[in-house]
Amino acid sequence: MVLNQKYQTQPTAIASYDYTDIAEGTGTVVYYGFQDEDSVGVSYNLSNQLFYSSAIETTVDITQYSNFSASTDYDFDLTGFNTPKRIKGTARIQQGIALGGRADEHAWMYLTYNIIHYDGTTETIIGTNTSETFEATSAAVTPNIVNLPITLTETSFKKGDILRVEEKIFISGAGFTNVGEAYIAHDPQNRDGTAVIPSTDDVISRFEVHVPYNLDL
Amino acid sequence: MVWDLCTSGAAISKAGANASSVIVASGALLSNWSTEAEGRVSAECHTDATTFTGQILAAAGDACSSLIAMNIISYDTTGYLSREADTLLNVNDDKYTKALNILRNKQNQRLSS
Repeated sequence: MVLNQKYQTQPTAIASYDYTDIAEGTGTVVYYGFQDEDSVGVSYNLSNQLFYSSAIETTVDITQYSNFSASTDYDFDLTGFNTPKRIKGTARIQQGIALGGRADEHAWMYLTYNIIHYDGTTETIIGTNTSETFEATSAAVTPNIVNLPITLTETSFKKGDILRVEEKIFISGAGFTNVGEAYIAHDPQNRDGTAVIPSTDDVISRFEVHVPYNLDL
Repeated sequence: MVWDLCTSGAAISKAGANASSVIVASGALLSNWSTEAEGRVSAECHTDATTFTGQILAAAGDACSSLIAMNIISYDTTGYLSREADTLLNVNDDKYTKALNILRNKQNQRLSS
């Protein structure tokens, strides 16, 4: 049966795709998390450009008996889409982090990442995953890389919708008042921070989010 | 004369899963389109389509909901991927055209009574 094509819009541009992306039907875009700061305060963003983040790391103090209370949520937002998109597949998070401790005391941290569809009023989580738990028991700062897959619910983004990555730091401590610090790095330029130092340690100071798009073929 | 031939749900479902949430929630606009669509179906059939019953009423409802769905789609196409809106418009136009071909036939209309 042939459907009469009375309505047929023509593309205004010729799109070129990578062969392997066409074979899989998805194209992955890498976004980098970064912080910017103006006269009002700081905000967290995503971009596919390698900007210099205003702060290379964000630090959270770990106090005793904090009992894995979530710290402030960090919302890394992409600017609203100008054309409709459909996200499908498995995203990947890669981020340099560090955990500083005190001698004879304990500090723990883990991170939860939510990938969110945000239409300006309602947040809908389309994928989530949680890192392993890191522990510090000495007066040293130990950097690590968080590398997590996040299975996504197939989701359409309309014009103006925002892709948001919400990062939550969960911390806990046992000991005296201040038992350590949690660091999350977010510098697209991969510069050295105070705790996450790519030039000397086997770590990155980037926050990368690999997002698979359903190719509009 | 509003929603006599079809339900708003039937029209919204024919506009696809990515129809504008704004228009889908707008009862006033949908009602206007329902009134217009029912009037158009009646005019095309040379009969008050709201008097149809049974299977012929269902066929008139199919035409009506497709016509309303085309309005929903064209109100805001930014939620659809490229050609998705085209396909939905073409499918609904095809349903509308075929349903009207049936409804214009007076012998078919007599099945209603």
